[in-house]
Amino acid sequence: MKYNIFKIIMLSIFTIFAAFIILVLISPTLYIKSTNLLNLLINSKEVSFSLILSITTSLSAVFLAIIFGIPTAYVLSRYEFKFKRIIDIILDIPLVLPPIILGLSLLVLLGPIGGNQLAKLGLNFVFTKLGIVMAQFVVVAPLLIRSLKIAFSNVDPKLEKAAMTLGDNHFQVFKNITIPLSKEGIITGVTTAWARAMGEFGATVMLAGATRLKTETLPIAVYLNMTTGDLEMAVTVSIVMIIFSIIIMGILQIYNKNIYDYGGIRQ
Amino acid sequence: MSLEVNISKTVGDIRLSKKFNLKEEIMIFYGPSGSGKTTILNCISGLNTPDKGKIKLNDRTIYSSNKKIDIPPFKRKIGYIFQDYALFPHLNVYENILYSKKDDKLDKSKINKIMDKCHIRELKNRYPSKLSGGEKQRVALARALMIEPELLLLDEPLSSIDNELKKKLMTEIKMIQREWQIPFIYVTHSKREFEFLGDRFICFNSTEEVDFNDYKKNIS
Repeated sequence: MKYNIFKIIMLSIFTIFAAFIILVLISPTLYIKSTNLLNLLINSKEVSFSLILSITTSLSAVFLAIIFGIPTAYVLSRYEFKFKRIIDIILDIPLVLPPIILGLSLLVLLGPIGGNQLAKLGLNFVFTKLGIVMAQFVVVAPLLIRSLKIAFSNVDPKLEKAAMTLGDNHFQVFKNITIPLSKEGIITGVTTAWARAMGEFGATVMLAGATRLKTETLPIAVYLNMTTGDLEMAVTVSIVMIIFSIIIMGILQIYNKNIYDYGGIRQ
Repeated sequence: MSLEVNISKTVGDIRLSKKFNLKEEIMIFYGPSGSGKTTILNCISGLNTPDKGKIKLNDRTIYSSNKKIDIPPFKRKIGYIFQDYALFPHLNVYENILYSKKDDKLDKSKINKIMDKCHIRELKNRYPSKLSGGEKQRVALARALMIEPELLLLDEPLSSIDNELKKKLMTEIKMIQREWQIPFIYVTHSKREFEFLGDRFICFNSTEEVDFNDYKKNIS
């Protein structure tokens, strides 16, 4: 039998890498005893508080990102205007900027610069839960916009024009054609943004601080417990986050299996 | 049913200026690619806005630069068959055909009549990706007819159809036009389609503009 050297090299590297990632993901469970883990997961007030806080703030942040992201991405994918390219690049900058810098900028804007005015409106972002939502929003919105922009760009404008000649106004075209045909990209973008929001640390810690049982999201819980030397608790919270990531990836996989293949068969 | 067009539109370096009247007949826009045929079609349908001029469909002014009238495409009642048919890939044939009627009460006899006329009744559960070029063309025709158009625009609808089928489809298009008694504007750069289908012609040229209302008569 003739060996395919190329294939052997590729498969070997692939196997080493996949094994390494699996090891990284399961290593927290190797450190902690299962009875201790279960006990902490069920009885720790800190774990349940940070889990609930992370879920509520991340969902709020993603909701805000959808509200602002869909029109922004649509404008960038469909309309031509002056300085479009520059604005497009500016909106992508948060993707490459360290989150801690974003958080610092937010702290300056919503604290010393505009904090007093916002406080009069009842909006306090610094060292509050609202600050967590804001920090997560600023980090995930550009990520979502990028996914949506690609999704909208993949919809043939001719289909939208055809819908218009069949009696749809612009809103109906968007609802009946653009959104259904971008659905896959939208769901992938929203799910990825949600996962990113759940794991957001740098910007959150700068704007909302790291106060136990107040602004303690899951990543902040890991950080706080590491700084106080409670490795077992930090590992427990990490496991919660890993489980959450697995669920997110599972949702994406199930969704991708169930989407229409546009061939008349719903798989 | 009548259409009056007197518009001009500049696209890049080409200035298009078209003036014609059309009754219940097939007008051919004939010319090479890039000569502005689709642009004029889009202006008539409302998908593009002319620089100036006037378009009147029956007694309705649907565009007038002087009177600042520009009826949006979804209110013009103009059927449009795009070059690649633009069938909605996420909807099956039946849903594509009923797209314009999704909020209305369905008249099943009318739907069946149109589907029979276009020979697509057996395709109704299929998705566009599973249709041949000829089937797509028929579905696009049925979908456009469902809005009960006062004018039908066809942008090179047979360009990707093989020659054998082309003649059959051309005959069907001609028959439907005669039966529906509405003006058709048919864009092509195929001499065969031009000669078979056309009652009247406008020739587009990318370098100079020549209008022939009775081109056929002239060349014969």
